[in-house]
Amino acid sequence: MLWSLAFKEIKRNKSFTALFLVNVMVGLLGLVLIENFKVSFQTVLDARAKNLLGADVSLSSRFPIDKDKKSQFLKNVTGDQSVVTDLMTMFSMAKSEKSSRLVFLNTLKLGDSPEMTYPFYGHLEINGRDLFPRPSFALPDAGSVWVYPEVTSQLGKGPIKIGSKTFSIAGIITDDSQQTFEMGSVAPKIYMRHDDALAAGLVQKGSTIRYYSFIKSSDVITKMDLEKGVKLIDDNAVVISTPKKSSEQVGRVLAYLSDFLGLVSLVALFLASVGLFYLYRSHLSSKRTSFAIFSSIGLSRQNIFGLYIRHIILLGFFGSLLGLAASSLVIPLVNQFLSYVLPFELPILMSPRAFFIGFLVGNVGVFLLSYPLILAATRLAPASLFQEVAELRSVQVSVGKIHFLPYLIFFSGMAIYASNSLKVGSTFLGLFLGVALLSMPVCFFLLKIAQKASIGAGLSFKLSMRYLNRYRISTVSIFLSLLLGSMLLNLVPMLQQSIQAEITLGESSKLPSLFLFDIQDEQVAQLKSFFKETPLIGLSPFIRGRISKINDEAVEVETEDAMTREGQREQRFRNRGTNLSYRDELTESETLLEGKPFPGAYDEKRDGLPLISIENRYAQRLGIKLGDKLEFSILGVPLLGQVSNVRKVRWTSFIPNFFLQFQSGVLDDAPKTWLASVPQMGKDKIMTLQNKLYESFPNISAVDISRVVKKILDVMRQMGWALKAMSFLCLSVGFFVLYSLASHQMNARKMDMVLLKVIGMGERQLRTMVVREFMGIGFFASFLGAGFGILVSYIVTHLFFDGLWQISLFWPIGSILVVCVLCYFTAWLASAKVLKVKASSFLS
Amino acid sequence: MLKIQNLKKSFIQGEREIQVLKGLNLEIKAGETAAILGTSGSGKSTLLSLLAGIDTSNAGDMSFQGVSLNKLSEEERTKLRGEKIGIIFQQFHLIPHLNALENVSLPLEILGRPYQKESVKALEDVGLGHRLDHFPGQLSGGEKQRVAIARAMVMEPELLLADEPSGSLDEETGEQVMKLIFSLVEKKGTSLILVTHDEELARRCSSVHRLQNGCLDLEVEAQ
Repeated sequence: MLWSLAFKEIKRNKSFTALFLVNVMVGLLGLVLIENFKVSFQTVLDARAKNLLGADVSLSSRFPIDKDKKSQFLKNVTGDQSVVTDLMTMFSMAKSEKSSRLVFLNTLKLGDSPEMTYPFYGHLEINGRDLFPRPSFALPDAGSVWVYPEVTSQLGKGPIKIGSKTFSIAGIITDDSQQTFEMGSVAPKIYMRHDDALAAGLVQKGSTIRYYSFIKSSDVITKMDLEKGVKLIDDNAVVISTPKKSSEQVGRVLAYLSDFLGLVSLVALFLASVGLFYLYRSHLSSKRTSFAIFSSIGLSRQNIFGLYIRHIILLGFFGSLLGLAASSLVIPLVNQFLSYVLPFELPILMSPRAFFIGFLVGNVGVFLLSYPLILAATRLAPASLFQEVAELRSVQVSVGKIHFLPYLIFFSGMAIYASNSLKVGSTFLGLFLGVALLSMPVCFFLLKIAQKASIGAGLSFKLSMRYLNRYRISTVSIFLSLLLGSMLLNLVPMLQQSIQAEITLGESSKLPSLFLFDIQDEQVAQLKSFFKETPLIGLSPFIRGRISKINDEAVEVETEDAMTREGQREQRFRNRGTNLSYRDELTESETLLEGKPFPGAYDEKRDGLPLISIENRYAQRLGIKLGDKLEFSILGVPLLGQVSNVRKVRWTSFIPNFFLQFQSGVLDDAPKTWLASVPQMGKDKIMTLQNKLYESFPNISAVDISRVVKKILDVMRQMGWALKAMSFLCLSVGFFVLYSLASHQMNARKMDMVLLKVIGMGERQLRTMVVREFMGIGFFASFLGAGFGILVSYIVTHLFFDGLWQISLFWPIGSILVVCVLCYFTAWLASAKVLKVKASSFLS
Repeated sequence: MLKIQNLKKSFIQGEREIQVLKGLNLEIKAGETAAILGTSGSGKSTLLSLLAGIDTSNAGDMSFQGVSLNKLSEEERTKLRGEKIGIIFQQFHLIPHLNALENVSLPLEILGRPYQKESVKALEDVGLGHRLDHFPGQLSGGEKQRVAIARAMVMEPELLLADEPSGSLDEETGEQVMKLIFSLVEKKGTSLILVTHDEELARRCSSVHRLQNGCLDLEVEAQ
């Protein structure tokens, strides 16, 4: 019986049910789209994972991999029949007649066996022809190279000099399955023969070489096999990559983007929740008479509660289904749009996981939000039905705030799930709820002022202000949803602008023009002389090592998948080698946070253990604190040191810096190369300098920082558009909530409006009154939203980025105008039907 | 069937305690029709709430078929009300989104009893057999009150409470409604307590009581 009554409640209250269901649908849309995008993207990565790596497993290291350990790995992990292809990669400069640029060399060393090929999976397409893999292949001829198209666009198609040799361009790589997803790569690939690389003098002491062994396994590799392999290799400078890890690495940027998009979609969900809360509260208030009638004919309080619980379960269920149906219509369109923006095509798939998440959130969220309202409504004292005059007036349901705790916990869980980070999810939720809680008293305060301002004012202004105060909950709900939508719309572009301002090269900018590396120890003096007119910035030694122990505990390679982004970052940092340097003073891009500056060069009597300076975020990731003892292995030689200070580094200065720095006098004799930056200069000057540098120092690699910045800005722009699109979705949800609440309120005020008509108020005057109310809310909400957007961008810039905060008035002014105009039209639309009701209906 | 002894009920309004019923006594036999006369504000609504088990008294005893209502829990009173007491309100109080048949079926559905045929018959008894699927919004005042009567009588209650049932109707319709009520209670042997301010209507009952100063004075005794 209760289910039947609940169904009837839904069927026979059509306008409430429709508004409620559409609110649920709109709230879920963003969330399902983002979840589906994550799954689609992961599907593409998983499907191409093997092609991305080109092998079943790979070993890589900055040092040549120990032959015995490699044999053991092959024997125990991949099988005796495995095939191995060795590859070396390194950065180098390539020069043509007109210019030079940084390139990424891949040197192929293949044996006689036809099975030794590269890659084992995926393909390399040269001049439009699939070359790899096939049984009989040819490396580039001796003295020739295969290049990426970007090389020819800058250096031309003529011969290019790499190292001490000149090479002809034998082929242009038109497709490389390993390149498909890389965003922001600054050095295009060049493939060459291994022996050519040796002959060109590219393999030198200190060169930035990475040694790879790509393995096609004869056995199936399990997780346990990999763990065994890690123990056999026993060197955290050697990276063992599987197709899965490789694809995760490649997809990292987009993974972060989808995390943030997920958070923004939660804002849309929250705004829809505001609308749902208001709608259901009003619905239950109007049902008080029904509650009393049910009670009078013998339905117990428990059963009345049960009836409305069933009612809300059904609403959540149907609303979720509607949300999923709408998502399935929108997904193909979104995927098509994303295919233009991303460098690959997304499959049009309806992810069961995304749909399940949407369904779960829709049902659980609606239930948790509404059950406190039902509890409060059914707890009310039975209304007296024995009244002599008129019907029972709707009495507002007041709810104990503690009952919303489950909803808050649920929402917090969603924020952490969406962002894959406890820190980011909690901060987002904290900021967001903080703004929401701050806004409410502000809104009430504004209502008070509005009430006072209406005294002595014209009739329609007075009535507008009175209605705003009379329907406070509706006013606050609309205010909050518009405020949060506006805040987001201002926050995203302002954050983007601040970060962009920090890294953009401008006339007044101090960013260097070039970043130099692979500088040999014996070249330093000569290089200083070369740059005597424009002295190098941040000339720093660069020593490779790895952390072997922290406070006498061995640093072990993690093979388990980390749950959060923080966990993944920590694993990456634990599982790789470390770059070390030494310096006694801080540079202009560093700030001391804890501890003391180095007292000078190492003195055993004074200092005890060699002193180390650590970058603060690196320290947090690895759980290292002031005073901790760190043991390093530098080319097999152990070195113990102690953390004496923690510093903050402004990485966007592009001045060489390191996570770990020793004081001088410790690593001075260690094998090393050097890094430096070249101060800013004009574009033509850079090219001339780069060419001259190559002639004198062909082994030194130079990164054009403006190119790096441009790549980063391009990526940020793409990500920014996605975030802005999602913010617009949030604002749209905000407007939908506005429309729902406005319609609902208009309906509730229908007889009032008709009465005003009866006593002589014209339709135009009534419309002005309504529009003024909603435009008033819209103006103040968007004004405050813009203000909060500016404030939150300031806080976030300083909490998560080291960037300079920059304010722009375009978005705040623009958003206020847009919101006011849209409020005008929404109010007009919501009131149209009600205003058409004839005054004569009052008399029937 | 119904016995009330020294019933007292007061309400707190601000800092004051307002005594509404000050020691009320009443006895109704099975099949008796009793009218309670009283002016506006005399405590009629309060008395009806107590009689219906919707509210509880501060003092005194009220027993229905030998069961003391004050000793029952809210749930027990609700159950008792659903089984044995029918209520007709001045404002009809039909569920707006249920049609006539569904409104009338409700008490039987709540009790878990068969309701289809019984509800149809109840509506036919009140002359609305042709308006089964009409909603309250589609019915006139008199028709709505007849649906409310059918709903109150469908589970064949022992006691019918009627709170100014013709109060919201015009004279002619009101008269029709009252005729219907009296004929139904006579036919089914239901006791009736009719609350009204209409002296003439009150005289149609077998006993008449006047509620004033928080107490009931018997004016006409049942034969």
